[in-house]
Amino acid sequence: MLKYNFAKFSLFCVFAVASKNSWAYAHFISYGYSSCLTCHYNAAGNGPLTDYGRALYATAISAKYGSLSDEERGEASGFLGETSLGSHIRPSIDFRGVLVQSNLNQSSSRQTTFIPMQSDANLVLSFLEGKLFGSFTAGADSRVNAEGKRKPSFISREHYLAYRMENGLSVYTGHMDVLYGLRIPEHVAFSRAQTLMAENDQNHGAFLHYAKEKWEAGLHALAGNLYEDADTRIKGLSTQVEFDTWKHGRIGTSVAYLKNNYRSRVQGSVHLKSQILKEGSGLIGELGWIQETNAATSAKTQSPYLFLQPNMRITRGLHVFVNAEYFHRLKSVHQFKASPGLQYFPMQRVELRWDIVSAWNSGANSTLSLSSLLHAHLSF
Amino acid sequence: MRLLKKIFKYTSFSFAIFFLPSIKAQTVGFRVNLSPVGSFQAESSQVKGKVQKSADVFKASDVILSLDTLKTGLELRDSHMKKKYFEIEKFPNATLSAAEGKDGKFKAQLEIHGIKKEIQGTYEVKENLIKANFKTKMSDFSIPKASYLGVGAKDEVEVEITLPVVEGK
Repeated sequence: MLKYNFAKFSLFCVFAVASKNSWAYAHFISYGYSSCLTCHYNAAGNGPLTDYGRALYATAISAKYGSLSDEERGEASGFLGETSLGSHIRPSIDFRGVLVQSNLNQSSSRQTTFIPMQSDANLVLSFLEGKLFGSFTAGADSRVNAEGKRKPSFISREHYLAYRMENGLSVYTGHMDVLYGLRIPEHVAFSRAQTLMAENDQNHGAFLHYAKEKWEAGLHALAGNLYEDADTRIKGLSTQVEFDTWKHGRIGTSVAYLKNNYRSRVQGSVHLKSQILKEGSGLIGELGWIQETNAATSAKTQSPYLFLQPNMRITRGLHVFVNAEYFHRLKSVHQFKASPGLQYFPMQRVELRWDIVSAWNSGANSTLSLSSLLHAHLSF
Repeated sequence: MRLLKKIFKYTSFSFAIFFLPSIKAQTVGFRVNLSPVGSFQAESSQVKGKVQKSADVFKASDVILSLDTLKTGLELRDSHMKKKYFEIEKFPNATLSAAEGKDGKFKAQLEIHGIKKEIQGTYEVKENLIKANFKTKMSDFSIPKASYLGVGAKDEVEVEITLPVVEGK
């Protein structure tokens, strides 16, 4: 069992809901990168960046800083700056914290909380000119346990081996994020939390990915998260296909069958990634449907969901965006979220983000809740 | 129902504005596929030249593109493409000459990076614009194999040129 308690560190991580280093921001496709594979080791996106991904962060995503040229920034974008680590070892460290001010519209219950969302250390080892590689991530995990308490600990969040062939076929095996839908950093979004694709939903299994110039497809066989109790492990199969449509535009679809001893579900989605108006600005969206069956009662629930994010670049490094979300468990209330925000990359390795989240539902006791989320993300 | 109609109307309008490629006269674009995967497109609307139509034959000569006007959407990528690979200080232009097409197919001479080669492709005519597509290889023009931090450009590129058509004699 690769699970170690660090009691002293737990105070720091007590609220951690660590998300992976996700980079599916809407505007990235507008630079011509419709595939995650150009910048990430994992073909499904997420996780550690390749050298190219780091350089892109330094030379296109972040603001121009200091007196360095983009050429020099790209050369200094490695873990140790310009110092080469050779071709086999790529470490990285990620920390993401968020200052949450909740219930802004209800002064009596207003709260301010700092949440260290992500505390991950990763090592990628690669051989055979990068064809064979393994990625290993240790991260803070503070999921609420059966007693309703958070028990902060460190887990092996990701560990897999992969082999990438010349013909575009890749095989991954191990513990990793599940292939499904848009891999966005908003891990509490309905499209991630309700589809069981959130920050701690990694799974053991095998992932087959095939990429061509204008389309790619993946199939992920899930054996369940072996760190969880056998009866709660979610097993199944997930698949995704994406293809280029117009210039800087891509459409995809995902289908997953997931099952444990207590429930099974079939869920599907279509998603979109596209540039809008100009380089650096984009739109991502995911529309999906979940059908879940209770194993004991055979009762079925149906739940459509929607995620939409236009993201406009004001100037290099500075973006304004809006997240619009909808979720509806049929015969229950309609849930909505709208979250305008600002995103600023003052330099490589640093992301600052401010979201104002408004959430409400259609029920008789509908209330509007307003929250402010101030994120700081450091990645080395 | 009215709400749905409104949503559809505005959604369609948004798609038309944001996504549909606008047809411009005098453009050159090419798509470079990357290894391991991905692609980018370079574009310029500064191509000079026109196509003359005579009966069902289309001819063009001296279609000139100033390579310095190409843009890919990333400054550093533009800089690498122009300085390291096209070497625009020595070879500032790409030139298409002796182009002749009939029945949707054409042949032409393409000069780039100081080397002239015959290329073949297809075209279609819409109103007074001709859109020609062809594939070529960077290695045919002695352009060095492009790569940056583990991501390489594949040798074959897909080129699209849009030019105005005028009636010839």
